[in-house]
Amino acid sequence: MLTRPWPLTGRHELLEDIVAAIGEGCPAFFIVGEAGAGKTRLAREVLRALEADGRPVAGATATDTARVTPLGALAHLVPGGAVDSPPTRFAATRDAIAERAGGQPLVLHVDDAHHLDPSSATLLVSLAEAGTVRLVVTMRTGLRVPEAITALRASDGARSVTLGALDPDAIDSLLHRVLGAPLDGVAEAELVATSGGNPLFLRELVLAAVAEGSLRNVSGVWRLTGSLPASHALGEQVLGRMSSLTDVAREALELVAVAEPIGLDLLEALVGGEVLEHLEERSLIRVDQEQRRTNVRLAHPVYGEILRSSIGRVRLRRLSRLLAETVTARGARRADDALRVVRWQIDAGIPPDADVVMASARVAAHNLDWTTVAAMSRAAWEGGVADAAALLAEAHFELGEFDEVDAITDRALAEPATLSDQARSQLHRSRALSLTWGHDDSAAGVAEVASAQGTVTDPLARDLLVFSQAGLLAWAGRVREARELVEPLLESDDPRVVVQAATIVELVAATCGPTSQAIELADAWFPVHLGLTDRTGTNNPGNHLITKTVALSHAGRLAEALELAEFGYGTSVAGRNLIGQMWFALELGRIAMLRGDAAQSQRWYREHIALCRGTGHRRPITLGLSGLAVAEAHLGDVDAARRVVEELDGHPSAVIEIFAVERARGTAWAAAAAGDASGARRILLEAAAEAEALGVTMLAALARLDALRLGDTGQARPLAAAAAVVESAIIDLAARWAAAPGDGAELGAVGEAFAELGCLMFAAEAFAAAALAWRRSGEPRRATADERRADELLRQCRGANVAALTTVESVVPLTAREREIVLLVADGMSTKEVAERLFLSARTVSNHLQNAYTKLGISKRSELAAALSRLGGDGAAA
Amino acid sequence: MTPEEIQLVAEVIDRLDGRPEFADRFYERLFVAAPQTQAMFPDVAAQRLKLTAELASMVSMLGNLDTLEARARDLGARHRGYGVRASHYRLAREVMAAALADVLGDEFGPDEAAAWNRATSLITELMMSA
Repeated sequence: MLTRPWPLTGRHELLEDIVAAIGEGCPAFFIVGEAGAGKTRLAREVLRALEADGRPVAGATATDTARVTPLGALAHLVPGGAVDSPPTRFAATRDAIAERAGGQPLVLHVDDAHHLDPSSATLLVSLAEAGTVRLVVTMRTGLRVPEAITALRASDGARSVTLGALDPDAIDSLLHRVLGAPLDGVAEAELVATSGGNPLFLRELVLAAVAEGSLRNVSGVWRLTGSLPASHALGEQVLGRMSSLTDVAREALELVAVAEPIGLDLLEALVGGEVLEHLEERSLIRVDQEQRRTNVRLAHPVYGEILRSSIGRVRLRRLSRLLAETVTARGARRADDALRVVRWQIDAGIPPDADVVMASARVAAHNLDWTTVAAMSRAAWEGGVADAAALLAEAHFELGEFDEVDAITDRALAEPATLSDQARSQLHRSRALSLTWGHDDSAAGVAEVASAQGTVTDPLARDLLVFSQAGLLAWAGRVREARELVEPLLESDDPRVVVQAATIVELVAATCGPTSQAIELADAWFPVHLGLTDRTGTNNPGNHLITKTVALSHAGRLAEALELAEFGYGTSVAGRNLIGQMWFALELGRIAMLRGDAAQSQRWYREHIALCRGTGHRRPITLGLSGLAVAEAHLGDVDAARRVVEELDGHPSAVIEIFAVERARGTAWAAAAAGDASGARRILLEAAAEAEALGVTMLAALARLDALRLGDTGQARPLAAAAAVVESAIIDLAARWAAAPGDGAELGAVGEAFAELGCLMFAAEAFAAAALAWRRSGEPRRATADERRADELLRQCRGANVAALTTVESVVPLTAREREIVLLVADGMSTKEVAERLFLSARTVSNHLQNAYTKLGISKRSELAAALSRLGGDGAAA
Repeated sequence: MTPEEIQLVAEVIDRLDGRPEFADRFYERLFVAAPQTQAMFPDVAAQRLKLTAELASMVSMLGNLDTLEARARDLGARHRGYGVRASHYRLAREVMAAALADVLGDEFGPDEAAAWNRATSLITELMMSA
């Protein structure tokens, strides 16, 4: 019994709670605790129970040493994953997990989440948010986890438990069971006190004491004849047990500690198979078959930490050298082996070839594994490559570690003579970004790159500083200055400068107008950007496609925008470009909303938000949250919209002013959904005026269209003014709509034109306005025809009933509570279910419902759907 | 458990001999603390008669883990069938200690209570592993 797994003890109640929670749909259950508290064991029991219930389950283990490999924790879930090249791995992993899940959510145990690589974390969180997986996450108390995981833990529905010490009764029962006989009082008291209730420590203590002979079974009772080892530290306890190993066995264990997971074949080549058998028998290592590879790990993560901290520098260098040389000699089998070799070389103190390290750092940067980029570029920097500081600063910026960026840029720029102009330019740009996004001081960021322009002579390095300044100005909403500064760069002879400058002009044109300028520039410069053989200092060519998508959708060319966004999204996923994926998800959310598909829009915005959280690129999250608030409001989820706005309010806005009006649209729609249409209109009009003062005309016009939809009657003139500038079919129609109150024929024509653009919700609303106009001018037949058309269009918009109800709030004065209840009932809930959901009595719900029926002019539930749909078609129905 | 604790628990069981009110108090307290458990024991009268005997039998096996484990697993499987969950085991242990204090008074002192808790911990852990 002693060497077999010990029985789960003192945790059954928790086990049942977690199994029940996951079974009931909890997206993620976090088990947090100290090393050795039994987190993994508990999680495995949870999975076993769920598997017995017929649910699909799988496990993923993150390890410190595997962290260097993007998606390393999930590789074993992908058929052939071990040999995949990094660019296709993200998509392959996602597809493989979705496939494993089949129809049902896959219950996935993520072990040691504090070791997860950022890519795995992002993928897992987006899968959890999509409901494809339910996670059982184990993680160490007090250790940092990827931000996506932290956010998931704080999200609605996720649950957490902290695994504390076992109580003395449970320890006593456990000892009794594994020893198989009573224990004398001294031994019992010693073991309970010394282990501190930590099951792993208890196990180590007992195994050591039995091996040494100090704990012995004397006539049916276990007695402590000597004393327990003096050390109370788990680490020394573990090392004590390992001290009896032969030198070869010890070294084998240390190699696993340095390189886990390590291929069995490699390890056999290094130490021989016999010694590994011995280690496996003593429960010090475990061997896992994962797809095509057989990997060796230490039996408990704590062993690795303890061993690694006990290995001296000299020894670590020797082991790392051995690993690096052996893998190199055998030939790297996987794309990631090269990365690991460089890492071992760094640990071995083998001065890695600076070029090789920098090349590896760039590979890691391509993988967006900024932790590895930081480690490698720091090694190169400390190895005397002064220019490596530039990539190092960039990596820390991407990791959101602004203090590091400041420290590195300060130190590197203190000796500017050692740096190339390129590196200096990059360092100033990183410092400016840190000032802007890290310290919320966009003015200081702009000043940083402006003043640096005099310190470099290389034209490319200087022009990139100008580009950077223009970019910061544009994001800060100073679009006129940005345009003025960057447009001359379009004339540069260096295509690397032109393609960068074009991205800024495209951004400004897409958000301010004219949209055609953004589209033309993107068409002209994207192929050039893509074709550059030397992309030094330039950003991703995909930026052209992102801004072109924005411009196309703003222009009202929704089908083209959708096609491009889907292409960009697919390409980003296939290429593991999380940043691209994040932006295209945002655009897909915006396009879906323009098309009137709030449900689809909500899904895309959620993906965008999950990706923002996962990548360390938190800044665009305010855009996703703004959009999500609009989508939730249209879906009628008042609480969700309010919560999103609350989260939005917690984010600084100073550095992303160009999109300030988008933020206001989120806030406004949340207010409208909660029944405050006049407040919503006020928010929209104020924000639109501010955006127009900056010159952000296109986005301002979209806010004015919202105000129009919410019943504002004063939008004719400003929308006409915007239409003249922005080149947008949507705004053209909005201007016609605003200019034609009471004109049924014109409003119907606007509705038809919106329908042709694919803006179904706007179309339905315009037809509803037309019907109202016809009815008021005494032409009921035409009114009925347009009502029918509005109904038809609304039915094609998912979540449309809800939106209709919220938008006609001023006409049908339902209270927020009545509206909430009506929507739930329309959704098919019984009175009793609604009462439970809202924590009200059934009687209260019935009263509210009755009042709502009266206001809606109906008498029973079966008429509700028709009434809601009619409301969308004709606001005067009540 | 230590041999001394096993001895103390055995003495507690001896003192229950001829005191049927222990089972009464146990079920009274249990049904107050967790009314939903009443449904798990449709025939409480029979259960009352069995409780003390079952306890005595298990306690007598404390020195022999294999025998105890087989018995506890069997009993645990049946309890699982009644819908008994881990939280009920915890509750039952608390209620049982209180019922013993009710019935035995000073004869159920701190040492007896501590030993009793060790015994019920071991027995319920074995039952839950079924």
